[in-house]
Amino acid sequence: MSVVAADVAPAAPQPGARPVLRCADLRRSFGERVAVDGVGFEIAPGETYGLLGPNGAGKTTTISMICGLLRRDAGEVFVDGRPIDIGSTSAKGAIGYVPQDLAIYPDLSARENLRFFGRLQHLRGRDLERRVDGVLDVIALSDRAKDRVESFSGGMKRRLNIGIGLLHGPRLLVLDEPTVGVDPQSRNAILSSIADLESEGMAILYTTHYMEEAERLCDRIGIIDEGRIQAEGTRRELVELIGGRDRVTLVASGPLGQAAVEIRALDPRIDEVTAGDGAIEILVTEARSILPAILSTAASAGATIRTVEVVEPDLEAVFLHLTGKALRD
Amino acid sequence: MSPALAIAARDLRQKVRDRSAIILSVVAPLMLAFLFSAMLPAGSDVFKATYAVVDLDGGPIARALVDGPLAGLGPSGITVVAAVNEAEARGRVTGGSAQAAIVIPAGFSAAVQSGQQAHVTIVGSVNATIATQVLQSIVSSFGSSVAGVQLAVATVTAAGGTGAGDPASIAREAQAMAAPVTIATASTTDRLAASNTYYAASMAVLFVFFAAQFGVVSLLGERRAGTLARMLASPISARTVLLGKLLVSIVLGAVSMTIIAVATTLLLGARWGDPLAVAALILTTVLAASGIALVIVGFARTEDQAAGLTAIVAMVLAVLGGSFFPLSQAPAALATLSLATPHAWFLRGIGDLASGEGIAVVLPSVAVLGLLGVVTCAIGLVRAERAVIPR
Repeated sequence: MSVVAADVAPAAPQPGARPVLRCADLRRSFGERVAVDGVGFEIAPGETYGLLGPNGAGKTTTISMICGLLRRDAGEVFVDGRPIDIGSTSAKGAIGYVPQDLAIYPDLSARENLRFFGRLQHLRGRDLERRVDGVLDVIALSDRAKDRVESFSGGMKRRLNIGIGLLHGPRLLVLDEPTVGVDPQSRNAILSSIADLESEGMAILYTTHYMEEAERLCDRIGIIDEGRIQAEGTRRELVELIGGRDRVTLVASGPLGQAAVEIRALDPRIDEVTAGDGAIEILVTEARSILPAILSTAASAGATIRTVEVVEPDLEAVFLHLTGKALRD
Repeated sequence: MSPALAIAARDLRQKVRDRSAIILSVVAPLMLAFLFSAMLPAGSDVFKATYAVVDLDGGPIARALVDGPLAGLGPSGITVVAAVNEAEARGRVTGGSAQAAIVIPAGFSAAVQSGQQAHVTIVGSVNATIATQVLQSIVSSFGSSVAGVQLAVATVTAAGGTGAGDPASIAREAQAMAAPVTIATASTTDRLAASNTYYAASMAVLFVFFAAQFGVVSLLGERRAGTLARMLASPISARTVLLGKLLVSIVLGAVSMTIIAVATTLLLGARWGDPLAVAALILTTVLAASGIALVIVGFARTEDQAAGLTAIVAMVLAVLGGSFFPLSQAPAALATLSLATPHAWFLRGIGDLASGEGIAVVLPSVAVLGLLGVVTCAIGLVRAERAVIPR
């Protein structure tokens, strides 16, 4: 699946543009249980914001309030500068909502599903057909457009579920755990297409409890637990919260001591370098960006590198640090 | 196409593909209408009975009874057959070829003429109490007539007048005389369509509730499937979704009733009456049924629960509203209670049309049904919006 249709994505982000989504102090209780307690964040055009948290953390409740599907006890939501509430109608046109569960009609074909939801977006005639064709291309279902959805694989249904959210070219795409129950191949295809949409300038709100997805897709991540945003920032910023550094291990031979000295002098982000028995251990910030230079320096010092291993502190560790429990508890 | 129409069109397409809606909305009521009409064929609304008559007397008073009131019952749907003796008459009643029998004993006429008490025996089938009661009434009436004649003769004789003939002749003449006062029954509440029309209309109004539920109950299914939330995330109001669903109910109900009306007219010979009036009755009835179905959905949590509640409500209203028996045969309290049901007003309208009159005669029924429809739809929309739409 690849994204090629400009029809289904808004224009590329402009510097200094106002946030596509701004929500603040969202609160919602169900009886005595507080589901969301003061959640707020912003998403800029072309930015993917991830809400990372375990099941029951408040992700879907937050999304439902943002999409005007659930009344909020307090707080405010603005999408593309317009307030969103349960009674909002036209303002909802700026949002593409992709629910966690498949919200499609199995007795209709892919094209019929897209047409139906397109009509609810007030799309008509040629414009509707053009957009339907564009989305079918994007989700790689053009050749199955006339087939009933009930005959589709799980991955195809997931793609259609996402495609419906793209149909009207929303400014904000809200994806609620879109890869749950999807096979690895389809998951990769879905994640690639979402990354492409971001590059087209669409603002994306992505909820997941899969750490790897949040790390791969999201520009910024809000770690949510028990209805609160526990921490927010880029992956690097979050990892720094717990003082984490990357560990690079070079299994090599040759003048490892000399290589270690030269590597240590290479960049101030390199904190510690030790040469041991057939290996060099490096503690470094942002290892991925500096790794080519490290390898080049080691080679020029005469070391022969056999394997390279990079271990980065991950969001799982951050979540554990912040909440005292594992992400998938 | 507006979003409400798009929602309605999608649902209707799905209902056409899923045969269950057609079966319950059209096939089932048609089959029941056919069955009822077959069991109770056209004209069965006219009373029918066969009486066996055993005349062991053969005298003038007995002949006056047999040739007079009993022989004159033909136009009323009653057949009189002669039996040789009481055993044969009882056998006919027991065997079912007669619903009741009258045995006039020997000496009956002589006893009457001599002013003595005379007896006849009536044998009735336990399965035909009404026929037996009718025969008892006829004989009782004849006895009263004879007593009147006896009194007249006695009065004339006591006054010293000349006899105009023997008592039997006087009795025959008295029987032959036109009644000085006749009573015509004309009630506004028991105007009935022919049985085939009645049962066709009854089944149509009973099953329109099941047809109507198909539209609005899908709200609960869509809520479960998540497609309702997706619709509500679109730039349309919750009321638009509800209107789309209500429209499905109305279309399904109207199609169901129209097909039943046309099919029973062509296949059963049902006479629904003026098409414009029937259309008005159908539309307002469908509106009321759809409104009630929407109210039910507002109180149900699942599709199964809604379907069960709809079945209960539809059957109770059908019984109260006269879908299973004419309200003219119901106790007064039930007839009064029936006025709260769409069934009663619809069937009353169809009954009114049996007179051959046009739409004017059904305007009261149409007005009540329309009011019921508007009120229940309004309540249903408010209730469903609160209960079904996620909040």
